[in-house]
Order: sequence, then structure tokens, then C-alpha cells
Amino acid sequence: MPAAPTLPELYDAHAAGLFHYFTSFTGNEADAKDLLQDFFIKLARQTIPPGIANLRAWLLRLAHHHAIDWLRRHRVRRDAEGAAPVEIFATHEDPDQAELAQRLTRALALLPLEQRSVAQLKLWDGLTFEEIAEVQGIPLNTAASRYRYALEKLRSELRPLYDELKPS
Amino acid sequence: MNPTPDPFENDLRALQRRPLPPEWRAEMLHAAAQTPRLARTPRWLLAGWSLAWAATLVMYFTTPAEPSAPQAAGMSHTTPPLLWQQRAAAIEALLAAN
Repeated sequence: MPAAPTLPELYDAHAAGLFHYFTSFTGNEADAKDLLQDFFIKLARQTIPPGIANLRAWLLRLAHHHAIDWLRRHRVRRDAEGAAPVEIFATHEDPDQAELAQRLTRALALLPLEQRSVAQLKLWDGLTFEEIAEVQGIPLNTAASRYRYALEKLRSELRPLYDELKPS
Repeated sequence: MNPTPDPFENDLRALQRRPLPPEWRAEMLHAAAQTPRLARTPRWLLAGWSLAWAATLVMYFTTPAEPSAPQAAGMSHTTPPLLWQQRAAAIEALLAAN
């Protein structure tokens, strides 16, 4: 059985994804950073059970509970949904890509938390609907429909620019 | 449940999320390293605790609620409703006598 990963290894492989997942809950970078910090402190205290098939999904499930606890404690759900968007994407040399990234960040911020978090897990964490359902403790169909709604809203928000950028 | 992604999805997926500031790594790992690992309760302590509880429960259920009177020695198998009836009758007799 392979040895459990060390904390630095977990950080290198998963911290960025976890941070971006937290931003979908907090809506601001400072709180997402605090959440990530607390998460790693929590992780340092516990033993990672051996034989986890999908470590990323396991970590994201813990992170999801961590974020929900945070939301309950801070009661900021509405504020988070209305806050200024956190920069999610890397800076792009290509101005078209940079513009798309900027618009996408704004469009993601307009989504309800449930749809935004599912879209993040599906698009950029590469999770399947089964894994998303497991991570968020929701039925599979709910995960799929939240993603579908999110994608349609993103498509509609980005359509003018996206159509302009796409070669016909 | 995971249909083939459309080109729009692929284009979104192709956008790279920004990496974390490099200084966060040392900061967070240092903070995590300062945290004492929670000690697990030793197995022998858990086993001892369970045995003590089991013994307490066994004693609780096997000991009569109050010491039996010599003449009631044969009542150890008395069913609780009968015992209650006997007690009620005794109390009524006591009250009637006063």
C-alpha cells in the first residue's frame, strides 16, 4: 500500500484547487485564504485513512464541509454572492483570452453558490458528476442539473464575446 | 451522466486558474506544523473503559432495587406488576390502619 502523502505534497498537488473552491463560497480572497489555512491545520491534526481511491475528491469533500461550517458561522452567504469577484484565472498574454477570463470571472460571480461550486468542480477540478455528488452530499441528478444551469447561464453571459472570438 | 463536452465547455476548461502566491506555501505549512497532532486514545484505555461500563450495566440489571426481606426471599422471580400490586396493597393497608 502506498504511503500517505505528506502535508507539503498535499499542498503542492491540491492547495490551488482547494483555494479556488473556497473562493466560490467566500467570494473574497482573504476569507478563502483563511479557510485554506484552517483546512491545512485541520489536515495536519488528522490521519489520512489508507487506501483512498481518489484523494482529490476526498480532500474536496472535507473542504466542502469546512466551507459549509464557515458559512454557518459567518452567515455571509448573501454577501458572498454579491461581493466583487475574486480573480480566478491566470493572466493571459493573448488579449482575447484575457478578456474571456475576465468576463468569465464576472459571470461565475453572478451564479448562485450551488451552481458556481459545481461548475468549478466539473470544469477545473475535473470531477465527474458522481464525484461531485459525493463531495457535496447531493443526488447525482442535482449535481448534473446544477451544472447544466450554470453552463447555460455562463453561455448566455459570455455569448457576444465568445461568438466574436470563435472563428466561424 | 457525463456526456461529451461541447466546444464551449472545452474552451472554458482550457483557461488556467491562477496559481497561489508562492509565499503562502511556507506560511501555511509552517502554521500547520505548529499544530500539535491530536493524540489518539490508546486502545487499552478504550477497552478498560468499555469493560468498566459493561460491568456497571451487568451489576445494575442483576442487583434488586432494594434488599429482599427474609420472608420475601422467594419473590426474586416475582414479576414487576405483581410486585407493584403487593406494594400498593401494603400502602393501602397502612393508610387504612391509620
